[in-house]
Amino acid sequence: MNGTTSPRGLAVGLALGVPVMLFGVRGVLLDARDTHPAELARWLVGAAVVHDLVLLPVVGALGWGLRRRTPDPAWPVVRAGAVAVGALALVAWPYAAGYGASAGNPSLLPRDYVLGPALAAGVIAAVTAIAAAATVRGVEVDVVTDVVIDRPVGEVAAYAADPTNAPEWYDNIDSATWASDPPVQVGSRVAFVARFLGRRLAYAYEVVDLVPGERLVMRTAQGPFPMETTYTWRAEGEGRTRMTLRNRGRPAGFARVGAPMMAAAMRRANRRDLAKLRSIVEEAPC
Amino acid sequence: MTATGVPASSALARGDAADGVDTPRAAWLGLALGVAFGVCFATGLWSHVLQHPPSWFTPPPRPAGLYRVTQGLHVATGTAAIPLLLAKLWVVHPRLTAWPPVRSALHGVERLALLPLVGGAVFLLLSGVANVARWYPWGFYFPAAHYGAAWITVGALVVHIGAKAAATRAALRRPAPGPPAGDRRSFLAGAAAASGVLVVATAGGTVPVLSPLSVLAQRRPGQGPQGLPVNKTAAAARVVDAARDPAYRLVVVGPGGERAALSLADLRALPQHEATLPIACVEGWSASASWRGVRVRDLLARVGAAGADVVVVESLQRTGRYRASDLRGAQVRDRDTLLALDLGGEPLDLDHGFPVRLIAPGRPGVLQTKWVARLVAR
Repeated sequence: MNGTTSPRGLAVGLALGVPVMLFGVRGVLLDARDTHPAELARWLVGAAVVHDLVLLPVVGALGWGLRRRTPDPAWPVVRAGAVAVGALALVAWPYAAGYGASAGNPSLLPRDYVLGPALAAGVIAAVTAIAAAATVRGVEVDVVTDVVIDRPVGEVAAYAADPTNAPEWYDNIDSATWASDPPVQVGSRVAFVARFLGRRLAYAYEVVDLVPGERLVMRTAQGPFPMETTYTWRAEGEGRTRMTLRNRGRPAGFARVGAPMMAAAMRRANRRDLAKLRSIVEEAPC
Repeated sequence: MTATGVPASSALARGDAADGVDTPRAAWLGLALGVAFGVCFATGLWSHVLQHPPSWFTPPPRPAGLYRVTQGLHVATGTAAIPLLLAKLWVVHPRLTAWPPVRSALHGVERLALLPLVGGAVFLLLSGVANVARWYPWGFYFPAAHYGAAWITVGALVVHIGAKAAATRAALRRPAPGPPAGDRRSFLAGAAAASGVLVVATAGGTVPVLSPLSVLAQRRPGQGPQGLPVNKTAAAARVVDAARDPAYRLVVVGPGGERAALSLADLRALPQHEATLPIACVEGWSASASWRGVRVRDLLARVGAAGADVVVVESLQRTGRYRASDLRGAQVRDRDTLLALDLGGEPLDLDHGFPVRLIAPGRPGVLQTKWVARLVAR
């Protein structure tokens, strides 16, 4: 037995499926004037044979050649692009060959079926090449947002630098727990649970630089998206603070392709979070 | 858990990692193809019974746009299945050359059922694409062969699902050994993306917003006489002279042999009704238009056949599979079942069925008989 075949399931399948097949065969034979049973049988068997003996080896050879020329990280993108272009070419073939053109009916097959698919294939190839290049180079996501808060630097910095406050002002962060002893200092580790783009993420940050009242830098090296987060605080006039929030990282693997979208989503989220932070700090009782 | 750390229940999935087939890939693609072929089979059967209704079935005229949805879905789903089928066959191809080719009687039976399954599935998609492209490199009649092959393929699919259901469930539940999950995801995402590309490239004939991107659409919305595409022209149907003949009369025949003969002027003098109804072609394109003409039920009343249950609508065409069509039951009496004289406020173009054509809700385009010569009530 093949390792994936269940004998009982096969028996049930045969009991239900064979009558359906026989019904089909009966219909073909009864309607022989239209179905040409012998020719249809040749087409059914021929479809499997041509796929297995012609299409499969051709795709295999083309894929092998393309794989050899493609750097590893770009392969998923290049393969997807090649499959899309190949599928388009297969379907385009009878159109491009003009088998169905009808001189008397200009509304039927009205397009240029060589130029159109060729342009579409070109666009797919170009997008694939750009995405593949980005994948190989690596795309840095670097999002900087800031906010002016109507409270003194010391107060803003004290609140924002305390990682246990993060779930309050970060919409995406569900929890933050100390993985080392408080208070925050260089070397502190904090475990976060967050949701981002519909996925639940658990990751740990380590504080790598801290100048109280001036800046805090923390970093994670886990997951598909290693990140560095920097807070800076600067006095902006009497009793006001400009806080900047910077997230910088280099997505790994397939996540690279989505980097631009990720940056946009991150920018929106960061703006919202800083606004929340401002409202919390400004309303805090003095 | 077994000693190897793999849950015992995934033994099925584990059993074949050795043969070079990544079972979860095959399982996901199998699931998607099962859904796609299921949708195609159901919508295809619907199209079949509308065109060849068995005696016990009265095709419902409502909802009026149902057929354009089911047939648009049929063609789009079949198109989407092309990359999925090719990806599936690619994933399992190491088993093609497995040695020994047959390990047991059951294995032999299972492999034997793969021939109609693979041949049938490839043939159904290939013949569907060819039909939409109007390419007929065979002698059989496409709808009959496509329909017969569908039953054979679906029967073989049921056998295959029976044999593989347990392994598929196991593979979808637990990650099996094999290539990293990231590569699996990207492979499946690539196949899905190719499906999306094909659907966008072909669906513009029925979803106008996609038309600019539909480089392989068989039709362009708004292109054709009076802004509506044409399937069969008057010249191709050899009705040009008969349709233009000033002596043209529409003949209505009642069940008892009562006859009425109406000239074009007589028809225009009758109460006119308007309806916005789609032409929905089996080839997947569809387009809505505004029609005006005489209700079929009003014409039948003139020969005492207001209650007729079956009406045969015959064309001026002398030959052709679609020279006549039946209206049954509620279709006969529907207020929007018209013999149309006007399209978009102008007299019908010759290619749209001048002097009068049938237009009725919920029918495949080939049954919207053009150049109508006779209505025969039974």
